Amino acid sequence: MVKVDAYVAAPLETAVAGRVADTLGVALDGKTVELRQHVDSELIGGLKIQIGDQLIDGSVANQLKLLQRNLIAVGHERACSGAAI
Amino acid sequence: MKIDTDEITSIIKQEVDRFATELEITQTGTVVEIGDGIARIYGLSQAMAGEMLEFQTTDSAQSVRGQVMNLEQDIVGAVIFGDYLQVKEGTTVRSTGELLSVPVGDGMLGRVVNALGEPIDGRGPIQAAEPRKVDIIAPGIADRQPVHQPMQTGIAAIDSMIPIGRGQRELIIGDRKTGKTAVAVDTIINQKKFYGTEDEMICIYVAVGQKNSTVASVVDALREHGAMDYTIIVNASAAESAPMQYIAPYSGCAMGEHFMWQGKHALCIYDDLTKQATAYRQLSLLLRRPPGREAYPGDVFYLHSRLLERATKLSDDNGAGSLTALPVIETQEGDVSAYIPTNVISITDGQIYLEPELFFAGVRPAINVGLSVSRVGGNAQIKAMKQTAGSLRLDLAAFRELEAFAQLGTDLDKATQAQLDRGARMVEILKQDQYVPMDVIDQVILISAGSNGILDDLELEQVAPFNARLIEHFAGPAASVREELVQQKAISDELTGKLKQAMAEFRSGWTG
Repeated sequence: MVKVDAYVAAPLETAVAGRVADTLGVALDGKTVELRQHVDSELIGGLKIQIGDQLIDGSVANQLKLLQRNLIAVGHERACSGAAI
Repeated sequence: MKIDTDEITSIIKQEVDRFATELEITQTGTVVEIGDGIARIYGLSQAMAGEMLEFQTTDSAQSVRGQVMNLEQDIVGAVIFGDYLQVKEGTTVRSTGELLSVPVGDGMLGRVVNALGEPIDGRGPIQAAEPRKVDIIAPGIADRQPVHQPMQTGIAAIDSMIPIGRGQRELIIGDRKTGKTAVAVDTIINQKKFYGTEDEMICIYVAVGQKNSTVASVVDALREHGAMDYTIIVNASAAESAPMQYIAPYSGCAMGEHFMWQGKHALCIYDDLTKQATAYRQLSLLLRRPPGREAYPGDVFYLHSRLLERATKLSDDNGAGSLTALPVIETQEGDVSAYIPTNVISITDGQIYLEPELFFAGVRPAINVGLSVSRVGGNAQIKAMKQTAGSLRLDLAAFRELEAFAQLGTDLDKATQAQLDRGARMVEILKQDQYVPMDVIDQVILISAGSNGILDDLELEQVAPFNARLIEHFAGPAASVREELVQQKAISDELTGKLKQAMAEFRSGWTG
């Protein structure tokens, strides 16, 4: 039995929650998963899962943050290589 | 710089198209205790020692960086770089899987940065900088070669008797207010004449635990003398947290190593390591590491040895670059046998010992030549200097021995009096004002004038003006002799004759 925290933007439907729990169970060597849902509207969409101290972040908010970082990095790289930005 | 909005838009579009949704899997932990720049974190079971951490603050755009220091059961002890007040109990911490790095490169030259390489001089972001790991292991034996090129400080007393080579570690040690920083700053200013040549030296001045006003005046002095073009200032002032003061010398060293591995020469000045050791003691005690002597942790020797080991003269296969280190240590009441001074003395390849007694007696730079040594720099001296400096050492040693006797007021025989007079004039020759570095050839001329007895019958207060005019004489009427010395870099018998003749000519024309 593993307790897993799932952070979502809006509550999951029971069927979807069941599928998430099953998939995670398979990934965790067939253990039973107890999924605890937490609603956090700041995530915008997607799913953030915390198993112990491991965080699997598939939320839209995080995707946007990664995209922002990526753009800053590209911009910095371009500026350094002397491209005409 | 030309700004083309269409191009920017197209790049953004391109990047957004290319951006693939991916799951980010990270290790996380939670801050359970925080204070004084130290955090204790629950979780992070896979954390590695020295790994960089990211503290998620309320301001999501700006995360605070930290570093894993202690790995305990269930708990990780970490130091926080930057604004630790933003980190609170319950803050989520992510591991990055990377070691701490700072930006390095030509874009850093002329800038004042903090210990993380972020600009603090208000001159905008740093261009063309690449990251380099802050704390690495020093190059091994196979990567190195012996020190053989001179690192001219422009200070006659040092270049003649305590020569420093490129790739050497030479400690500057002394009480407060004895001119330690002045020696360092003069050395940086003296590198100006090499700027743009193949002997160019990139200078990195790391200020640890100093007053911001002091650092500002150093920056000002360097800027005024045109020395900022090839200098980087890393400042972790007394107002910054202990982790920043602890990491600053390593950051400065990483910036220097970048130039060293490009085959260039770099000079790192750590001003001063006493304060870095104090900062390290603070964070070690807060991390609950057991205290040892003077409450320093057990690895305070390694703290300095791993930093100074990174000063290197690279082998020709590696591009023959070099990193010279001038660490500074401040002693209390001249006590060189305290814990940190003895440690650093034993690590370095020699020390320049500055004494308050000399300083207040007007001998500036206040270098005690008896206690100062350079263990490897002799190989890095030009031959002419080696030939002249030998007799200088002897003259000064004899002078010091007799000086004590002379104070008793006993009658002295003629030979002893002559030795005393010679020594007093030699001491006078080695006095030098701040911010006026001297060329090594001029140093050779002055010292050989002294040891040839040209100044023996001058009054002591006449020595300084005489020397100034003598240098002018060798730049003007006797320029051919000087030129010959520059070419040969050694004093042949023939050249000795010419030098003596030119000096005698000048002496006979000197009226005071």
